[in-house]
Amino acid sequence: MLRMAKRSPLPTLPPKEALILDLLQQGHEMYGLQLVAASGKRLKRGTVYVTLGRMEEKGYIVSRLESAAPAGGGLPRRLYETTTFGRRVLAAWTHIARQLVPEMI
Amino acid sequence: MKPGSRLRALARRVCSERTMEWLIDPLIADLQSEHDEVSRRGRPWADRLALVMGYLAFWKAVSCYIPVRIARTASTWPTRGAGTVRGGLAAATVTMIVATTLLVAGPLRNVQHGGHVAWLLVLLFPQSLPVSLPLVLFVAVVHGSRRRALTRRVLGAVLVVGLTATLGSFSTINWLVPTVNQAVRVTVGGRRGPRGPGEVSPRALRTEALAMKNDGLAHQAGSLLLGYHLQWAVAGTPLVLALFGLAMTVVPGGRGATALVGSLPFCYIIYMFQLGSVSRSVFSNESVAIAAAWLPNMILMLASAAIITLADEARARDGFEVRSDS
Repeated sequence: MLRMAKRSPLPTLPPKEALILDLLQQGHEMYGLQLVAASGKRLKRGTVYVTLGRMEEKGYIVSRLESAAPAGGGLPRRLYETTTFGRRVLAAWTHIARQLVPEMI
Repeated sequence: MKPGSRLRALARRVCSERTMEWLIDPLIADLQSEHDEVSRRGRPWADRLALVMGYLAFWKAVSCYIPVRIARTASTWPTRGAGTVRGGLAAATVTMIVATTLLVAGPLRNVQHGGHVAWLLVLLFPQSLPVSLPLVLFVAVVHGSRRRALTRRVLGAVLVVGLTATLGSFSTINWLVPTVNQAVRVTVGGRRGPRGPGEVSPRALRTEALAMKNDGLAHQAGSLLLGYHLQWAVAGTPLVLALFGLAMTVVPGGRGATALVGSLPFCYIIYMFQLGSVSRSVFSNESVAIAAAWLPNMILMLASAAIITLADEARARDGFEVRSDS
């Protein structure tokens, strides 16, 4: 008797996460507001940090605090960059999307 | 003090270290860096705009994070508590059905429904929510918190649910009920009618009340002012009753004390009915209107705080206390 295979934890990549991975690949390390500015209003500063946190949990990106404290004092900013896994997921997602809807990519 | 420091201190009180690290601190750090950058350019208006945008982003991020937090808490809820949660949900469902039926039956009997009973039931349902929702929450919290240690996590979960229900109740009173009232008028009478005092925005209601007071119409002004403050007080009731429900589960002193404390919500209902018989001109004095509208909530909140504190002190020696989750 055939049994339904247990659902495998396949990585998912919503559009906003794909956009962040794409921006980080182009610009190496970036902080939250830089990503918002670079996205051309497609990312919102109120939601980008929640998305970045989720992506870090998924292992798509890693973050670190900037080494030098800001000149005017205050908290050090958090910089984000892609992981090898994140880059592979983006490449796979782009490849699949291109196969399915070539005219959209 | 750097901008955002107070918000960060506030967030530190309620958020975990991990949330501070990945959500709050990056957001505040970016806000402070942007503020420094804009300040250096010497444009005060841009400086203020950046701050406002940063603060808005903070509250938006927090409001986006709350559902994530609730989902995580629910998914990690101990399995031994699953039965209690199911019991709480069942009791809440029964309460919702009974309360809605009682609240909807009266208005439905008094209107010429002309075969639109099902549609009128749908339209009248939101009208019952400001009363049924706090009751449902109270029953759910009492059932869900039984035999559970009163930890900061439980207290936090009740606060989050209570606040969410309060926001829902406020939206229902101010936007949903006025809309469905008009729909009921169209269904029953075939046309829209003028909006009643309880169907205008709080600001418009207060402006109208103060205008009537200036014109010497004390009775009408008192009625509107009481209505205005009741809109806020009733909207706050879900949070108040949720906390009171939590306190009910830790009342020290046995069943007698529990029954005595448990009668307080009924006193609340009797008080609200009695409020209708008081002369409205008394409430043209706004302080009296505020006190009358908020008195039951204040009593229940104080009772909840006192009970939780007393229970914590009384049972600390047995290892029962409001404690932080590890």
